[in-house]
Amino acid sequence: MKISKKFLTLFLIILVIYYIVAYVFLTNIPSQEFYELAIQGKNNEIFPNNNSTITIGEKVQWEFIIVSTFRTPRIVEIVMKLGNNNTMLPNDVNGTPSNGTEIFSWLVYLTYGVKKDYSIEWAVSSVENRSDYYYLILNINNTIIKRVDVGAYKGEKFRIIIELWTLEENGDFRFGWVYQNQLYMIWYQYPFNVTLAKK
Amino acid sequence: MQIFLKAAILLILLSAQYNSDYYTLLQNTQDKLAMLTSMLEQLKAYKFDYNELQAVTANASIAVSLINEAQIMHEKGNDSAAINLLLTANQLLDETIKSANDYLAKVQAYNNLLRISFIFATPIAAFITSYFSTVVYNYLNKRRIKIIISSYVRLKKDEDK
Repeated sequence: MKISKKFLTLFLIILVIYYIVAYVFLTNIPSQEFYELAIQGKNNEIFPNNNSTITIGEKVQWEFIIVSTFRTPRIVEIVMKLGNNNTMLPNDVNGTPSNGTEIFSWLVYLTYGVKKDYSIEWAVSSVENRSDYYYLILNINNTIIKRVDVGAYKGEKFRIIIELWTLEENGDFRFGWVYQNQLYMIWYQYPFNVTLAKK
Repeated sequence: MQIFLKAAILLILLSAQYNSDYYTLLQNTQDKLAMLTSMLEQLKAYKFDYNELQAVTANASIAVSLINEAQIMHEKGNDSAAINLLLTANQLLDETIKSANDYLAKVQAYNNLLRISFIFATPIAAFITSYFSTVVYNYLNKRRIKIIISSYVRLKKDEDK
C-alpha cells in the first residue's frame, strides 16, 4: 500500500487534534477552588430591628451558608468568638486568627458545589457588672450556657468574630486555607453593645 | 467522712478519665476525617461522578453531625453521652474510609482503562477519518475534473460548429 505524503500529513494533523480532544476529555482542567461563607440574620437583619444594641434575653438568629468549590470533600470548622474593643482581629497578611474567646464552633462536611446551612440562635441571658465592666453569660441554641470572661465598659463595643478554619492533613485545623501556595481566609466581625435593660 | 472523701476522689478521677477519653476520641475522629479528605484528594487527577462520591461518603456527613452533637454534650458536661456519640462517629468514619478506598480504586481502574482505550483508539480513529476524508476528497475532485472536462468538451464542440 502506497501512502502518499498528503495522506500522511492529513493523518498526523487529525491525530494531533484527536489527542488534544482526548487529553481535554480525560483531564480535569484546573479551576480556582475556594470556600464561600455568608451570614444572614432573621429578616435580613444581623441584629433585631437593625439595632446593634441588644438587651438581655433578646434573641439573635443567624443563618450560615457555606459552599465549597473544591472538587473533593472538605471539612471546615466555623468558629464564633467574642471580643471587645481591645480584641485583635484576624490578620489578613500573617494569617493569624483573632485572639477573641471562642464561644461556639461546629464542623461542616462540604462536597463540591453543595450548599450547607447552619442556624444559630444566641442571646445574652445575663450580665455580670464588675465595676461598670459588663461580662456576658450567653445562651447559644437554647442548649449551651457560656460564661465568657470578656468584659466591655458599660457593655459597649463587644464584638462577635466569625472565622472559617479548615482541616489539614495532620488532623489539625488551621485558620483559612492554602490554595496554590497562597493563603486565603474568611472572617467577619459584628460589633454590638449590651444594655442592662431586659426584654 | 473518709468514705465520702474516697468517693469524691473516685468521681474526680472518673470524670478526668472521661475528659481525657473525650479529647482522645475527638482527635481520633479529626484524624480520620483528615485521612478521608486527603485520600479523596487523589480523585482530582481523575474523572469521577460527584453524585456517586457524595453517596459513597454520605456517612461522613452523619459522623460530622455526631461530632457536633458530642461537642454540645461535652459543653453541657455530659461526657459519657459525648463519648458514645464519638464512638459511633468513629465507627461510621471507619466504614466511610473503607468505602471511599474502594471507590477510589474503582475510579482509578476505570480511568486507567479509559486512558489505555484512548491511546489505542485515537490513532485508529485518526486513520479512519483521514482515509475517508481522502476518499471523499478524491471523489469530489474527480467529479470536479469531470465537470471541467465535460464543460471544456462542450465548449470545444460549440467552437467547432
